[in-house]
Amino acid sequence: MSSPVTALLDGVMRRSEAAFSELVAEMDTDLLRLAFLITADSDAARDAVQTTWETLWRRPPNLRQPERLRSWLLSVAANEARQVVRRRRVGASLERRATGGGELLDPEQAVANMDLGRALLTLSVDDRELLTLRYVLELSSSEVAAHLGISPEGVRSRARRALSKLREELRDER
Amino acid sequence: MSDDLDSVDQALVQRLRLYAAAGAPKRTPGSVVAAAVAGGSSARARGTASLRGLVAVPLVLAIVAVGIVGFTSFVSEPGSRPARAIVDGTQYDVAVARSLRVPEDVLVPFAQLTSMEGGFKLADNTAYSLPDVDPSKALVLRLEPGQRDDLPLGDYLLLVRGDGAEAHLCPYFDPASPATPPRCR
Repeated sequence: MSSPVTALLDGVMRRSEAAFSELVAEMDTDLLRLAFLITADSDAARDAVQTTWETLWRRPPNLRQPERLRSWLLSVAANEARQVVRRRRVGASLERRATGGGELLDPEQAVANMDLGRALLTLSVDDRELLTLRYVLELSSSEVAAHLGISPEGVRSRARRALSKLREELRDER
Repeated sequence: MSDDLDSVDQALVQRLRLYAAAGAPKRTPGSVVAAAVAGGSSARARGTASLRGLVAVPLVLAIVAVGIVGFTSFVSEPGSRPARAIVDGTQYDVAVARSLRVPEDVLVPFAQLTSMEGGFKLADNTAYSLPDVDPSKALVLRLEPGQRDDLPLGDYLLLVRGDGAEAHLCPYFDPASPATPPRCR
C-alpha cells in the first residue's frame, strides 16, 4: 500500500474519507475477486464486499497488529460472501456474470468461463476461498495458512486436492 | 505461481485468474466510499453510474448460461450485462441453454426477432414460444445447424425476461445432462 497501512487504519478511525478511499483503491479488486470466486455471482460479490467496507467504516477493528488489516479485510469479505451464499442460494444461480467486466468475449470464451464457474461450485466454499487466496491473490502458503488457521502443508495438500477436483469436473464437461 | 504445480495445473490456475478478473465487478473507489459512508448494507456501489449513457462504453456480451442457472433478476449496467435481444418491442436477455431439448413440432412462432447482440448464427429470425411457458418470460431461438460442432452452444438459445420462467422450462431440459439446472434434474 502506498501509505503505511497503520496510517490508513488510523485515518479510517479518525473518519478520514481520504484514507478510506486509499484503502478501497488498494484492496477492493482483491476483495471482489475473492467474493466472486466464493459466490460465483458478481452481484453477490459486490454486496459482500460493500458490506465489508461498511463494517470497516462503521466499526474499524482495533488490531493489535495494524499491518494485519489486509488479512482482516480478506476474512470479513470471505465471511460476508459465505453469508450471501447462504442467504441468496447463489449456488443455484451461477454463470450470470461469467463474462462481466467490460470486455468483449467471444461465445467460446464465454462458454469456457461458464464451465469453470460451474466446476468451481462443486468445490466447498472453503476450498474456493483457499484457491483464491493462494493462486488468484497469490498469498504464500504460510500467509494462507495463517489466514485460515491451518498448517502450510495443510494449505498445499488441500490446494492440490481442490485443483484435482476442478480438473476432473472440467474433464467431465467435455 | 508455485513451483509445485505441473503445467496442467498452472494452466488451470491461469484460467481461474482470468475468470476472476472477468467476473468480478468493476467500480470506482469513490462510489464505494460514498455508499459506505452513507451507510445501508443494501446500498450497492455500482461504480459505473458515471458511465451510464456513454455511447462509447464497451459492451460486455455476457452470455448467460441457463445450464445450472436460476432465473434470478439480471443486473443491467454498462460493462457487465447479458447480451440482449428485442422481440416485438420487448427486451430479453440472451441465455445459452445447452441441455435444452425441444421437439421442433412444439415450437410456436411468436414474433420476429428485431435485433440481438452476441454474434450467434440463427436458423431463422423467428422467436418461438413453448407450450405452458409465458412468452413474455421466455422464448426460444433456433441456432443454425452445424454451429454446434464449432461451439458447444446446443440447438437453441433462450430469451429470458425477469424471474419466474425457470420452473416452466424444466420439462424441456435433458435431466441427464450436467448442464441442466439442478432443480430440473
